[in-house]
Amino acid sequence: MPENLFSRALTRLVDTLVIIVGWWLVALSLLTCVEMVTRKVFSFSLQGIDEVGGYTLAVSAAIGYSYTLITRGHTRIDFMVGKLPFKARAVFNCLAMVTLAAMALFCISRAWVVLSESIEFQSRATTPLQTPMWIPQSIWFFGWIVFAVACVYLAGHSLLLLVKGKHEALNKAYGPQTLEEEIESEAGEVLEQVRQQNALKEAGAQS
Amino acid sequence: MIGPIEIGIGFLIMMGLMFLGLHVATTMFVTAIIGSALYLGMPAVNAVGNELWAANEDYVLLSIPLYILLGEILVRSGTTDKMYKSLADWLNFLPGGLLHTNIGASALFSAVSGSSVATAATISTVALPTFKTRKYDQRMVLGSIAAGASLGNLIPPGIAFLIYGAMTNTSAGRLYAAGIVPGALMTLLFMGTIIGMALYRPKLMGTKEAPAPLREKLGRLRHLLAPLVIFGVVMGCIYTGWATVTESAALGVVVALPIAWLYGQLSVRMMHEAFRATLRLTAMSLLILTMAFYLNFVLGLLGVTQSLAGVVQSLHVSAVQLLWVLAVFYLLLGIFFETLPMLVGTVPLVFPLTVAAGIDPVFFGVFMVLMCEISLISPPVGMTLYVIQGVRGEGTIKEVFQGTIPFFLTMIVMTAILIHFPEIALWLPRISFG
Repeated sequence: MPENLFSRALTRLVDTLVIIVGWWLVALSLLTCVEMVTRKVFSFSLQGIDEVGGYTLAVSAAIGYSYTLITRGHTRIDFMVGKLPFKARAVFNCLAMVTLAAMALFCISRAWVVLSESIEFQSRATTPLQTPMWIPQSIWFFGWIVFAVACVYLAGHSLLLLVKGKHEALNKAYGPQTLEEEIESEAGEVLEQVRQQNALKEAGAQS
Repeated sequence: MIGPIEIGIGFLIMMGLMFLGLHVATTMFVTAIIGSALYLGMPAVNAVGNELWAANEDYVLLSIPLYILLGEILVRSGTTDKMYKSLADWLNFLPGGLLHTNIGASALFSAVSGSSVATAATISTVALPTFKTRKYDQRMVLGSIAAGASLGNLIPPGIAFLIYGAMTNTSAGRLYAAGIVPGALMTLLFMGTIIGMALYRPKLMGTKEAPAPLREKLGRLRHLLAPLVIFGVVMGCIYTGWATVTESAALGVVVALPIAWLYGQLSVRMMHEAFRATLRLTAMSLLILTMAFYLNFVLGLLGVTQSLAGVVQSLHVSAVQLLWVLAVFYLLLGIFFETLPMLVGTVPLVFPLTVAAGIDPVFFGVFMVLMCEISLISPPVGMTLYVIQGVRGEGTIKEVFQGTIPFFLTMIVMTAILIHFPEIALWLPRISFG
């Protein structure tokens, strides 16, 4: 991402959303356990955990999309592209971003129809909770909006880099992650922890 | 209904777009849109919105982030190297010594972790220093780590089974039950491979260390408890029917928290890291899965299932023949593809074929996951191999490739066993779910 205020704000927003969703997942897990116990022991069931759980997945996914985008995690097959000369590679990396943005834009235009119909017809879930559908769908739609904004922003930036002829920078920012980057983003802190333990052990062995 | 040739063209377009390096999710979306625009018209194109909501508002799929979160918490509880040491205590007596620990530790770790990259990186970082002074053949060391790391999805609770189950409407509980025996058998076959190599080529093996005193061994045994307790609780609840797959995942998360606390690792910062990793992996899978659902929806309207069923019937292939053809197809595809794109990209087309040939959906799930495992360690694209080499930081990737060869062959043997004795997968789900 380019170094500017908007990038920082976007990263900050997405990160905050991710943390909120994370705590919500923990809370929902606890609630689920409580429900299981009361159901087994007291034959009393808290209604609607499964329904809320369904909404939770839709919301977590929608919010996760932008985080994964920013951390360059969305899966691509880089087998052929990786073998191309760097200028051609830049074109394909840019193309991937632009098509992703186009997809996201189309998806939000259709997702908006879903949400606006729920509002217009005041639809409710056919469940004991009778949740008004616009509530979970608004949060879900918000996640998609953030994703689409991030996609368009990054696609625009990659196009700009392509037009300016900054192929190296484009490949670095929008190409598939290098091996080191991938290890770092999927196991970074865990490896750090293990290395510290190894270092401690070595220090212990020497003394 | 569209004919097999159009279906083939559609599949090639999708594969072509993937090779151009577009995001896998985009390629499925584009293929689905082309299909519906050409044959179905705007209503099918406009159905995207409803499909997006319907595909993601799913309680069963909530188990995906929950299992990933459970794994991320456990991985961060700092038990890996203690677990490794304790496993070594009990496996060292076998011919091939410490190599068995690589298999065992990777299998345990990958069973709880949703990321094969994280598994390979962590186990390599823990294991490689212990091998430094012991003169094992490097290739065997690397190969055994790669083989172990590929076991994760077959041993429940893996994410691949959940994704397959969601795409084919197959019960995740049954799939988990079906994975256990083949997963255990695969582990034993890997260990058998090491024993075989040790007896046939003793020079490849390094120096063994004297066994630790029993008291020490027993003391360390508690470090194996964490993964075993989680596994027992999660799977136990599913098999006894006490909890659904999602509920037991939630239970797993709740049990993992005190474990991380016991190891002194539970902190807000650690939880936040776990959340980030969880959402990243979840969204990675779900964007592709969501688009695959839409593609599936379009394929359903296009009558692809019936069309492909017609092809299978006209060819008069038996289930076993079809499975062998698919095995070869996936071996080739696995050279270029990673697990998730391979699974999600092919199941919408391949599943109707297998149903038409009378193959049990639960069995095919196990077969499919085994194919994914093979793709993980087949060079030159197997991601785990590069990760292991990256952590190792010396020698060449060629040594890793050579090291995986015996294990790769073992997986082919396993494929043959599975195809010809489908009962090893189907037996447990039948007795536990009827």
